[in-house]
Amino acid sequence: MIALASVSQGNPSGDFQPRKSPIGVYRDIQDLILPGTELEPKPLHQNTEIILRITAIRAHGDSFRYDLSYCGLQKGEFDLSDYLQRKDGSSTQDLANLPVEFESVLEADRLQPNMPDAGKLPSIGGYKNMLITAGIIWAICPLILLLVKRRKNKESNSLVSNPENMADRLHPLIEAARDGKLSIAEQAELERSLIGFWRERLQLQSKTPISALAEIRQHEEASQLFEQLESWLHKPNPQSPVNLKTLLEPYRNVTKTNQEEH
Amino acid sequence: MDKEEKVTEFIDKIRARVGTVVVGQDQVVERLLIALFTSGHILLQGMPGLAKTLLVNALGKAIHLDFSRVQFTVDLLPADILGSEILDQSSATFTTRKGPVFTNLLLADEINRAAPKVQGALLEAMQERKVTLGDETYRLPVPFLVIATQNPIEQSGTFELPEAQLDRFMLCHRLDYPDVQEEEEILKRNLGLGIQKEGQGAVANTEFDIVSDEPVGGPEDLTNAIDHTHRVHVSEVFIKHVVELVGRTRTHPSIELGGSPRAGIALIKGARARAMIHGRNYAIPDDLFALAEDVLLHRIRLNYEALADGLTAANILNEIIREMG
Repeated sequence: MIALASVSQGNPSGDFQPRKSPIGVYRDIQDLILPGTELEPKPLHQNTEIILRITAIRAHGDSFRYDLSYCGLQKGEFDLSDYLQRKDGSSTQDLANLPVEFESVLEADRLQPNMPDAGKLPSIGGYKNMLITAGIIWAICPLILLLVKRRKNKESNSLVSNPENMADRLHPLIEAARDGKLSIAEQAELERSLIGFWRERLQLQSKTPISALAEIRQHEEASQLFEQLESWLHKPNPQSPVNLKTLLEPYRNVTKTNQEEH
Repeated sequence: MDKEEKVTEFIDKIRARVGTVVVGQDQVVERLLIALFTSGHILLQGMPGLAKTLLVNALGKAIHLDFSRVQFTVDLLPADILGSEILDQSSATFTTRKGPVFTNLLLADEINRAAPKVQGALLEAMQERKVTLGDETYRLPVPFLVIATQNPIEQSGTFELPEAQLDRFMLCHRLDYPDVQEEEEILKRNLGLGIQKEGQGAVANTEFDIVSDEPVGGPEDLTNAIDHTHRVHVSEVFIKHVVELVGRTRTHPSIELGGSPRAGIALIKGARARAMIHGRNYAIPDDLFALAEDVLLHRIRLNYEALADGLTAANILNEIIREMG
């Protein structure tokens, strides 16, 4: 470590500290005051040990203040002043030493650099294709969600609608009614099922419920049935008791096929 | 003549009286009578020029009842309907000025043109049947029926009634345009309206001028009809039908907001009145199906998927009724 008396740096200590650095790595020296006329780097040659650049020059009284940047190309200790010359061609003997040292990370006989680390493989097809794929997925996802939701809705709709045909629904209700074993809820269901049965039979599915019911009441056979049902299910004091066995007999053996034949 | 015959005659007379000025619209007259006999309130929805106001005017005059009409506008204030306290400067005391709501039949014309706070004030009075002015609470006269009309909400300058307030209306009836024969009859009748001379001037008569002021029945006839409505039998099977229908509106996949218990009550009350009007002392499924749209449609709100699919509440309700049977 050599303290340089004739050279001062713009740092608080005013001394130029020799420094170590790896080969090939640039280092900077700021505000280095060197006496004498203005300096410039010597021209580079094929076997130069150091690349030295002056990045800024500012006047400093009779001297100049320099910002230097240098990079070592060979291992060893060197003097930066050996790589400077005066612009006016005068001697640089008055310059103090500017010692620097360069270290080699590799062994002395190593000629080839290390192999680079194994990195990530690039994305298949590159960034552009990746964006296109993401765009397609973005567009398809809502469609898939929509289709799934529609399918669910259809399933729930089919759950809401009657799971079996009218004949299958009517049969147990009619048998239970003939045996006098219908609960209030089943009586209500029987009445609604018979309305549905006649609506299908008279092909009134496209009509509104009230107009379909009005047409059903115009039908001779249906009107008699519903008058009797009213008497049984809704009238407070029916004049004559309803014979359910006779009333519901025509509907006992209704099947899907003969319902459609009607 | 027994009481039942008197009720039938009273209803026939009202129908005939309304029929003298309004062509067709038998269904809406029936709905008005249902509302009147069940002390419910009714909302009439239809395009301008369908004789909504004339119809209510004729009904009000046919029955000897107090009748007020309020034209709802955007600058109407709650005090304009309910009333207010006015300072009497000579005695330095406040006197109460009751508003038009203190009547038997209140026609709230174009209710959806008023600001929400005015709608809210009226609907509160409809629900509680009393009004507070200053420190005093006043009961509204009996009977008290609000017949509101509104133009379809798509029209500009209207405030849509929220679901909670729509639920206060027992019925919401949608008026359609008359058919060809009815429209021809309307035009022919209009040709024969004549003119009214006064002094040296004259003015063409309108339909309102020919509505007779002579009532066809009084409060006792109305009380008798209300009494008969309350005696109509509703079977347990009918109640099951109502519960099933209202319940299905709550679980249908296309409906976000289904019928409330109040909707079920309205169906039963309405069915009773309809049965009485049709000369029965018991309700049947026909009454339920006939009133389902008017009772339920304004209480149902479809979800976004159903709206996106272009479905309407009427389609869904008809589908529900078909699935029930």
